[in-house]
Amino acid sequence: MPKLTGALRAMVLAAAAVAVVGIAGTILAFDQLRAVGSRYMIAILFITAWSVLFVGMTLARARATPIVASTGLVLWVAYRFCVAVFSGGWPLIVDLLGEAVLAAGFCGYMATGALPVAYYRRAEP
Amino acid sequence: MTWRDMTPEELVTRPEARLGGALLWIVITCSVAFIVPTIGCVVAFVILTTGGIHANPGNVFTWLDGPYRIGKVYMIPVLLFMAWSLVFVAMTLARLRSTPVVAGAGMVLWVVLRFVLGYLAQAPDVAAAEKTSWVDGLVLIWPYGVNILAEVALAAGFCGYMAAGVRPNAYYRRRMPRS
Repeated sequence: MPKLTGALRAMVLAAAAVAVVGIAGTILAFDQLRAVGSRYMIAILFITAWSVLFVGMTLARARATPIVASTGLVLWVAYRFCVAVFSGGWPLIVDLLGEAVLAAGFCGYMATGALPVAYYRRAEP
Repeated sequence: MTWRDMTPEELVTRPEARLGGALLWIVITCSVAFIVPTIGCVVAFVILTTGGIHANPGNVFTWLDGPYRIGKVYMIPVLLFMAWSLVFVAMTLARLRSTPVVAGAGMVLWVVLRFVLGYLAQAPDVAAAEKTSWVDGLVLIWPYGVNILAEVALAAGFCGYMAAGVRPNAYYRRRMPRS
């Protein structure tokens, strides 16, 4: 039975940290979240919800985790990219392209990486 | 996972040995991230040097001062990412074996820079404005911390893909998983 190791474990730990900080911050310091503006607030709430879902599905070893996690991240980056296009200058757009590169790598790893395939689909690596 | 070297025939026939899938999207995105701003800067510079400084057609001079205007919090990571994109695309076209390691290290450095400049370095100013401690300053800007933690998750996936993905290994290192 494949274990949660390597890059997959790092992804889950980072997502767990996002979930903890996001939930604690929303409950205990909501004013700071409201202060960043509605567009940024939507992105923060979305990624917090994504993290909870990703960690939960990973612990449950749900087979749909790679597609759900990848779709969520693509939506998150796409939303922020649209916000940057309509409200920021070109450096912000390039910055979001950097995140798009990371997201493409994340999706590629979830779709074809030996460990995610083995862990979620219970197949041999 | 164990790997085996690809045969000359596999290098020609296997789709994994060609630029495709997520790897192709990464290369296209990096090319856009470097080429478009570079063209914008060249056009703006040409207009500037040919006496068009008062015209600023299409707000073209923002290509030159955009990074400066946005502040060092974004300027340094954006310039680093553009430089990394150029190196990554060049190394990919040359199919260098060290590309995955260099690419992963570059993106980790990028995320660390964003963490330091966009989160840690902001705390002293916030703490001074609110007359509180540096740690309280970090708590007050927690939404930016969440954003960067999410980027850490993304960077881990990117590094995992570059290190253990079938296509990066087939394309750069000319090897396949041993079945």
